[in-house]
Parts: sequence; structure tokens; C-alpha cells
Amino acid sequence: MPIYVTVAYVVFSAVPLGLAVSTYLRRKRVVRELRRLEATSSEGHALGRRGRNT
Amino acid sequence: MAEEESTRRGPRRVDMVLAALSGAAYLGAMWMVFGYAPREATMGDVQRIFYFHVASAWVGFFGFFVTFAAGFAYLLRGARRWDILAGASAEIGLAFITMTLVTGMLWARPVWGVYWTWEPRLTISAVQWLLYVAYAMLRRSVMETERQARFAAVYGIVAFVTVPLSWFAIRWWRTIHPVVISAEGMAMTPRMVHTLVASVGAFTLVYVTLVRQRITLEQVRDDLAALRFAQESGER
Repeated sequence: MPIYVTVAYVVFSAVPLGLAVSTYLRRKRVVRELRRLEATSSEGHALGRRGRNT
Repeated sequence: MAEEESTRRGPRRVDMVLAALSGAAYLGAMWMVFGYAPREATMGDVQRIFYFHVASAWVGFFGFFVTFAAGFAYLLRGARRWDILAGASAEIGLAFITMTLVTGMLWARPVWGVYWTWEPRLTISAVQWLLYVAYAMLRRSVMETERQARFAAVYGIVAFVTVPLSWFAIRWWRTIHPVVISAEGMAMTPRMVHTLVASVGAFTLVYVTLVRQRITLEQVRDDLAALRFAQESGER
């Protein structure tokens, strides 16, 4: 098989796979940040309630 | 948290099924390229690049068409989901067109003796690629969301003109690029046609999977931006 065909099909395989993996990793990072902010937000609410009770 | 927001955070069943189907279709099409399609008489095995090269070009054009249509929908309705669809489709379309250009060069070298020539189809393709790279840069620019969306919508509509130009270039002007599909039919044997159809089908499935994945990413980013805004407003 000519080298050009091999390289072309490596490109055809790597690009969609690379896109899928990079989008998955980007979403994972955003979700992690979301969870961190939600945890910070719920800690703040709890502290606020304790402050009002004392 | 709304149920819709929570389901965006992990992979949904329909997306997992789509991903599995896309992978299977892709592998099936690749088998057809190397195991089912005949060896072309003039170019030999290097002609096998044709099936995925044409499929990625057509799906890339389709992606730009979706950006064009979603741009119109955004300008008419102003709904964020059309803006998200336009951006996602353009990004995936650009990836497919990049594959088309690179593999076209890999095919051209053994057949034409050069990687590139400034003939009509290739020149328009290069301009198209640059236009959509600029679109991607516009999307990453620091601009207020609604303003960016409107700019991107108009840009996506105007940039789409390169798609019919590219399609018709090989039919209107003298060009070295082959015309495989014409008014007289397809210059291919039945097995070649089956392989091409399978390749286009596989690439379309992959496009849908990737666009859906990209849309979900934007929706989760919107959730994050909304939460940050809510927290900052609460702090003030």
C-alpha cells in the first residue's frame, strides 16, 4: 500500500478521534469547575445560616 | 439544579449509542475501502484515498450549510441554541475540510506530481479554509455574547458562498481536479459507488456525534457562566 494512502487514513482516523477526546476533556474540566463553584456556594449558604443563628 | 442541567454533565445514553454506531460505521466503511472496493485501473491503490476524501468534503460542506441555516435562524429568532449549533457545526465542518485539504494533497502528489497547484477548485478551497479559521477566531474573541453571536451569524451566512463556488468550480472553469459526479452520472463501478455511499454515511454519523458533543459542551459552559454571574451578584 502506498505510504500516501497510509498517512491519509491515519489523518482520517486521528482527526475525528482527537476532536472527540478533546471535547470530552474540555467538558470534564468545565463540569469539575461547576461542581467546585456549587460546593463553594453551598458552604457560603451554610455559614450564612450559622451566622444568623448565633 | 434543573434536571436538564444535571443530565448535561455526564454522557447521555443517546450520545453513547451514536458514538458506538459512528465508530462501527467508520470501521465498516474503512473495511469497504480496503477490502471491497476494486483497485482502480489507472491510479492503483492510491485512488483509495478518494472515498474518505470526498466523504469528508461533502460532510464539511454540510456542516457549513448547517452553520449558514442556524445563522439565519439566530438572526430571526435570537435564541441561543441556534448560535450554539452554528458554532459547533462550523468547528466540526472546519475539521472535516482540513482533512479534505490534507488528504487531497497526499493524493495529488503521486497523481499530479505536486502537492498543490493554484487551480480554481483548490484556490477556492484554500480561501474557504481561511475564512472558517477566521470564523473560529471570531468565536474565541472577547466580545459580549449577543454581539458575538450576531457577528458570527452574519459571517457564517456570507462565508457559505464558498461552498457552491467550490462545488461548481470544477464544472465552470478549466481545472485539473477530476469531475466524478456529473449530469452524465458517476464515473465509477457499482462497488465504488457502494463504498462511497458507505463512507458518506459513516462520516455523517461521525459529524452528528461530534456536533452533539460540542453542543453539550457549550451548554455546560453556559451553566458555568450563569452560576458565576449568580454568585457575583449575590456577593454584591
